[in-house]
Amino acid sequence: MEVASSARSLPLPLLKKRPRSYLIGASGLGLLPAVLAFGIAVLWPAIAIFQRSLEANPLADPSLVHRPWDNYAKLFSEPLYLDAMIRTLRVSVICTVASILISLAIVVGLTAYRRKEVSSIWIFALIAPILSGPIIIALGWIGLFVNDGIGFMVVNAVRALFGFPEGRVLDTEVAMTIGTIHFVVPFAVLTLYPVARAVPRELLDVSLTLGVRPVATLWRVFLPMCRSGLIAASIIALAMALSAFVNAQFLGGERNLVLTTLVSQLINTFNPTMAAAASAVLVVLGLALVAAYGRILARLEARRT
Amino acid sequence: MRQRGWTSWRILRALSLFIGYGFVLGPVLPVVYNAFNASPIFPAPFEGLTLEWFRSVVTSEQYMSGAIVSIEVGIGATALALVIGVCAAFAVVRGPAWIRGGAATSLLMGPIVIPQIVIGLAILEAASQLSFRLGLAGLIIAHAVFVSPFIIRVVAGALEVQGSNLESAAMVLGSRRTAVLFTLTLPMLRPAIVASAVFAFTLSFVNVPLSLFLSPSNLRPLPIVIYQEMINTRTPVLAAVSILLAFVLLLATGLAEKVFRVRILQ
Repeated sequence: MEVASSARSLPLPLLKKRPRSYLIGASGLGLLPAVLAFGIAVLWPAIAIFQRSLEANPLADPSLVHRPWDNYAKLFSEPLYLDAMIRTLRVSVICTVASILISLAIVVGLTAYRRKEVSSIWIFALIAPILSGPIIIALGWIGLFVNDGIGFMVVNAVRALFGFPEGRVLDTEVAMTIGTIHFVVPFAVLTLYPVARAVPRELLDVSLTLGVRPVATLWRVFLPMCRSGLIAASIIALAMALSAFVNAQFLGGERNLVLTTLVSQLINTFNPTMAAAASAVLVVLGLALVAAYGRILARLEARRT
Repeated sequence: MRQRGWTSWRILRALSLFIGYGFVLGPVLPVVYNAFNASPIFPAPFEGLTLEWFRSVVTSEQYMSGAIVSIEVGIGATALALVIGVCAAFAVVRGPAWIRGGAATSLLMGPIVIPQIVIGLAILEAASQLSFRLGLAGLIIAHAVFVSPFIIRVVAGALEVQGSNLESAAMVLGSRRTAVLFTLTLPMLRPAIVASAVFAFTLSFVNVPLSLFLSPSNLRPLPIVIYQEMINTRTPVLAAVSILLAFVLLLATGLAEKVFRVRILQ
């Protein structure tokens, strides 16, 4: 978040230290409604769900002794749950990498070496999937991935190319991963596009005039200038991939659970305490991954400069 | 500036755009095609044009009541999120340093990092602790918190760009702070507020994971109705209803851009 001091632009030459306090909003009290809403709708529910995750399943045999950490122990020992956690990590990492590559291709195509800005219809086409919701997209992927659909053929052609056996695509991890990448790409593009658009055209011109080829200029000049956008986009992509739900539900089927679909399934099978434990793990995992990722990127940044 | 390497760059660019946009828009094709296809199975080979599926959507009571619930939730959530978001935008841009740094970041990233399905479930748990029946209020507050970062981002950006010079001038000339706020600052922010409100309404209207656990059976927003239908059956009616939903929302976005003369999609 780059928020420069707006007081800096004030023409008040007589004051050495410019006061901010007279500006509307300078007290920071505007944060109050947001803090209140977050407390009611995020913080308190988070505590409630954590408490719930320590309880025994209400349907379980009451004679059994329940220790507070039992749900978590189960989560980290039973293959079904472990499997879901490992799959969550795998899918979200693949999705982050793939969606960054795809959105980079789109953004570079839209911005690099263009004298004029592209028409807004191009951006609209990218945001259309967000605006029309996850349902229509999931339905579309189902249509593409059913046996003998276009997506089915493409995936199996790629499988054949790498020597994997052909087979169904719908209700597999492949379908789910592709669906999740699709869900993430628009958000990555939206984060990347403003940064790429702001790269000064003259820098590319200088590089070209000095005899560097367009593709090399792109790699050596344009991409390094987009770095902050790439970092932000990949963090957003990771967070979105971890929390993707609708595509995972309809494309992965019941056997390829990730944590979000596991939570939904546990609720549907009347196991609210395990669902609460899985939710808690998902939140902690998300916060930890995003924080760790941010630190790593910050360290890389520090080493470069 | 015609030098070596331009042809390969042109081909590369066309190819990357084609693949990128093909990937993004590809899934829409089978939905459109099956919504007009006469076959009662989804997906199916072409058997003739029909509008039958659209007719059954418009005459369906559950879809129409779902749409009404979605509109109610969308309006409520947008209004609440506007209050939260516009106030917070002022604090984020002009507040003390600790707000401009850490608080702003966590405010903007929080609802994105925490999975929506978890937020929905957690709100349900919190309400059940107090044995409080949620109804519309739960949906509205969950959606409002989820969409408010988008409003904060857009409004804070506009506030940053417009600066404070005009406000200072007005105050130096003796205007009162409330008068400045309501006759100068907020009117100048109008494009950003309208644009982010339309975007917020749309995001709320199409949301599934937040509403999933917060919708009692008599109060299901349209996407939840479609979602639950889709779990059991796959029919062209689902294609028709999701196309109608997308079409109406995209049309509304376009109209809002024209009527309010704003750019919703920066």
